[in-house]
Amino acid sequence: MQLHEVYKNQALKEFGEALGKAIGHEKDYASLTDFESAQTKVDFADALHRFLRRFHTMASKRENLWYCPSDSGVEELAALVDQVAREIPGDMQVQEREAVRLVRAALVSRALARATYIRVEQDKESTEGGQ
Amino acid sequence: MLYYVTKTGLDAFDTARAWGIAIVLNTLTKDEVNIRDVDWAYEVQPLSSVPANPSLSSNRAWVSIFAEDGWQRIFMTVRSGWQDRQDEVRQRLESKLSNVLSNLMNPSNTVAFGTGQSLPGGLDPAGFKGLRHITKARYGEGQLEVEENHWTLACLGMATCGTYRYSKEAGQSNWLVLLPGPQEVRFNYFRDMQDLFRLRPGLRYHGVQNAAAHYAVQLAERLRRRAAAQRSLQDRFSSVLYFRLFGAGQQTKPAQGNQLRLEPLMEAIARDPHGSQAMLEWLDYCFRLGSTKGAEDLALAATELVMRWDTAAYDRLIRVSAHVIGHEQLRRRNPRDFDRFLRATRNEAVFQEVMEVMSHAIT
Repeated sequence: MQLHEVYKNQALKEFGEALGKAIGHEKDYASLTDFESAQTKVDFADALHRFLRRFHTMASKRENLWYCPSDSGVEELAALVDQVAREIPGDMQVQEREAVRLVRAALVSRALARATYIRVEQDKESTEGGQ
Repeated sequence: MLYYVTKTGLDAFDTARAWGIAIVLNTLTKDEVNIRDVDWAYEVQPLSSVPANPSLSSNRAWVSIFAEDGWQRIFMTVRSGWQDRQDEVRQRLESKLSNVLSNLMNPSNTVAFGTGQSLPGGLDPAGFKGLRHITKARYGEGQLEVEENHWTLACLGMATCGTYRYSKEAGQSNWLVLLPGPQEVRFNYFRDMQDLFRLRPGLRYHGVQNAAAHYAVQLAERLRRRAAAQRSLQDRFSSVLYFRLFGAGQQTKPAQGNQLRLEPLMEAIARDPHGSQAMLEWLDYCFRLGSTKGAEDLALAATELVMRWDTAAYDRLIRVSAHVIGHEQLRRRNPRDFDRFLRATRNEAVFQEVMEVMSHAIT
């Protein structure tokens, strides 16, 4: 399974959008760093859980409603890591590490596009507000 | 008529000779010349036939070639007399032209080593050895000498198609040297080729790999524009040869060289010249913003991706980019490139295209 196929996964899309919002609006780099340090499937799932809790807190403080990814999405992404790992050659440790890296790369790509979109919109608003 | 530049294994020397003979044939015929890499040699073919009594000396285009800056750079490892060597190249090609051309028409022509002119470090780092002048310590090593006719063609090719960029890193003076390797290229006029090989001025590069990767992206973007206009990719390059020359006390010496494969970028352009535009622009902005103080990570991560096209490199670039967008200090330092980078990064098609390139590069 290659990166562009993983990128299309629905649960990954939802989490990526949420992470993008968290980075773009709330500058939540703690979650990004959490994902960066994940090496195993368990680390990655923990990082997803922690992010979800943070995101719920952020969403609850906002006036306009934010769509939150579901808990089942975490399981779906963990299963995706397993699926990717099975297709990677090498021992189990290598398979897991590479699979986490691939899924994370797809997740952060989604988040990056969303976060920059938000930043550009914010810049536009501040420019228009200034005028 | 086909001309053969048989390969010796000295990559920069071989590639420079191919460009060199293409320039000679283009100047003589005033018409297009095709260069094709056939593994064991470069086949060079002019579209129009070469005149019966070819002469270069009265040709205006030929004279202008010797006003190029590259000449001095080639002979950077030689302490003095670069102009004498430049004159030697010119005179030799003017006087022995028929001999040079007839030799290259033979597919089994080879380059004799051990006699002739020594290869300067600014031309080929692999062929460079020893010192070019006598020192008090009497240190000396044998220099690699090559046949004059081939040496002249290599010097001509490198002076016109090679790129030399001065850079100072940690107090060390460096020259970054880049030369594109043709896969299948039509050579129209040497100034057109120089436009294609131009490296954006004013940027600070973090090492020769960084410069080579940005050069590759800029070359790919220029080829993409042509391909989009012509609806197919007609000129293909296989690699960018790069090496560094550094100031070592009394002399400049070559160091650290390799080649960057261009197939992934060429295939991406050939697949979809319009679709690859956003990706190439994004990579260009990564390099431009990466030349700003504080964004070195971005430049190095983009370099890694262009060199390897694998998941680890992509993962790193994407994570570094996510950190960069929140770097307000960087925005204050280079607002123009920062904003351009933001606008390019918000486009999801960029990442999908990079992933597409990676999927083809891996298989």
